[in-house]
Amino acid sequence: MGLALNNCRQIIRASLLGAVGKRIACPRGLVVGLPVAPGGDYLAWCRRLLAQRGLRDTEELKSLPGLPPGAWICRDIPQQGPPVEESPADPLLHAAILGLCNPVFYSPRRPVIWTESRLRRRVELFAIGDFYAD
Amino acid sequence: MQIDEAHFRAIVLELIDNNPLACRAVLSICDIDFTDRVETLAVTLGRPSSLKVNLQFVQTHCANENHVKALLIHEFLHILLRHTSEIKIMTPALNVALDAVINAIIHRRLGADYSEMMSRYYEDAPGPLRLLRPMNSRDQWLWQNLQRSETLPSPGHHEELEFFRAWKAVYEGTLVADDMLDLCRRFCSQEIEELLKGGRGLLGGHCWEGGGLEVLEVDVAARLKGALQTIDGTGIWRDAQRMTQGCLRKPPPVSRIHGEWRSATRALLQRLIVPDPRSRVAREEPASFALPVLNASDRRGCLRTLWNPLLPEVVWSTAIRKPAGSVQVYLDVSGSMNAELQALLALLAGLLPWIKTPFWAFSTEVVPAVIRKGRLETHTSGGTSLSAVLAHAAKTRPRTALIITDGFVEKPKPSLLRSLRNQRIEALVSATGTPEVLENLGIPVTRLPMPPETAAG
Repeated sequence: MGLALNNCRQIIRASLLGAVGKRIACPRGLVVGLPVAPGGDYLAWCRRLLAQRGLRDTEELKSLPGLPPGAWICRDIPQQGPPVEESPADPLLHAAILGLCNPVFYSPRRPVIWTESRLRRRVELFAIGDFYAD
Repeated sequence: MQIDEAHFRAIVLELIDNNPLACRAVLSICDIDFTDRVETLAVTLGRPSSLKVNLQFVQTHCANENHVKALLIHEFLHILLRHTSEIKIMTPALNVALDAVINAIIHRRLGADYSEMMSRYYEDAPGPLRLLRPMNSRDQWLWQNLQRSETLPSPGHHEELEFFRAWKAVYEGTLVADDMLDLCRRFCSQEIEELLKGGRGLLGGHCWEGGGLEVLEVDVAARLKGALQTIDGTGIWRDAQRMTQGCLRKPPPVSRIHGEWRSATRALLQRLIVPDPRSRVAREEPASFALPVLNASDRRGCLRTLWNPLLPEVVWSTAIRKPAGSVQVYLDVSGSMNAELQALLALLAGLLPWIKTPFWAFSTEVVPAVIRKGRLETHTSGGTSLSAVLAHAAKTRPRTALIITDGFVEKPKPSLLRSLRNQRIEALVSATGTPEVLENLGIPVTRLPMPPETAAG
């Protein structure tokens, strides 16, 4: 007969994010996150990177090559995850993308906001085009 | 963490972007001004709105970004709660009550990471000022001991137990803003005042000496109303639904307007009313027309039918409705009018049909205004310029105009007055105003009498 229903606990988990080959799909794009900064001060470290590149303002980061165009959904992932192949090599590009992400969306049309809390995030981006295309 | 200006600006932008507790409503319209003229932080709403920040205070007391955000949200909630609760004069006890409710909201809605700012800042706060931070582990231990020893009370035990109950309730959200304000209105604020003098200032440094509730600009009021509709008021107000509907500054009821004011103003308007096809009030005027039908009032016409072979024309009289006319009104909305503005608005609200639309408000510029549900919707620069009114009247050419002011205006250019030769302009001066400047300019002045309760006092 099996267990009574009230003794069972079922966890149902579903997500459109990362779906590939489905009619409605939000395929995964980049995974971004900075390596641990020296002294744990991400903001100071990123500012140094910015200065080394000869940029004066964070808004100038929008001209960096490799910045994903258009809006993307972003989702926080654990800090201690395995390295991901889709991750770009340039740490300043990571910092630029993180600065353009709010808790839910990435968009290059937003202002680049560099705060410790944003630069400490590790996020994965998902395309939203396939979801809204229909 | 050393927070510099750029970092602080980034934190504000992040807060606006994430919009916790709908704080975007106020923060997004504020310019940031780093100054040591304020002790902590202060927000002034107006044109322009400004967030004044003492960066040294932030650097000393904020250990991380969440602490800065807590400080900013504290400022926003202070404005929101003060205006929704209509606290016109801030006393130390009210200030502590309001801050306690605000800090409790921050603790409940945003978590201990944020309220840690208050826990650190008010760590050694004595007596009732402990309400300004959440309970720490030592307080929890004391609270449990107080409950255990309820059967064997010591002197002062009952008061301390009551205080802990209120403290716990406010941080759990069962004691809401209205309850705390009611409670503090009953408290004697002397103890709190003395404690504040001896210790460090309150976050936000809200001054309670002469600091009346500012009149909000229309767009700021709309933003606050929007914020109220966005945030869930449960656990903040007793009747969250009513607060959400927005009740920022109600005007006094029209019935409270002194009868002499109404009759004096009505008589003045009657003198100045000129025909206006767009007038919202109609009056009946006698009119006549001819019909080949006999009637008793035109006896001469009846007699004429006896000898005149033509079709008779008998006069019939009637009345037709015509627009009653209106008058162009300029209302002074400068800072000096704050005390009487609400009463004048209530007075004008009853006479709106005779006021030409758009109705104009003036400070250092003339702008359109609307009285909607007894509330004035316009904006002000704070100053007063009669020149702006005269220039506007010269440009729009109304035949008559009424200026409502307290008379504290600067002398306009004589050339402006000369340009108004064929226009009739009169002034209505408020009860506490002065007619001198206007009378010297040759503008006829009607002064409102002092209300009976003021006159008697």
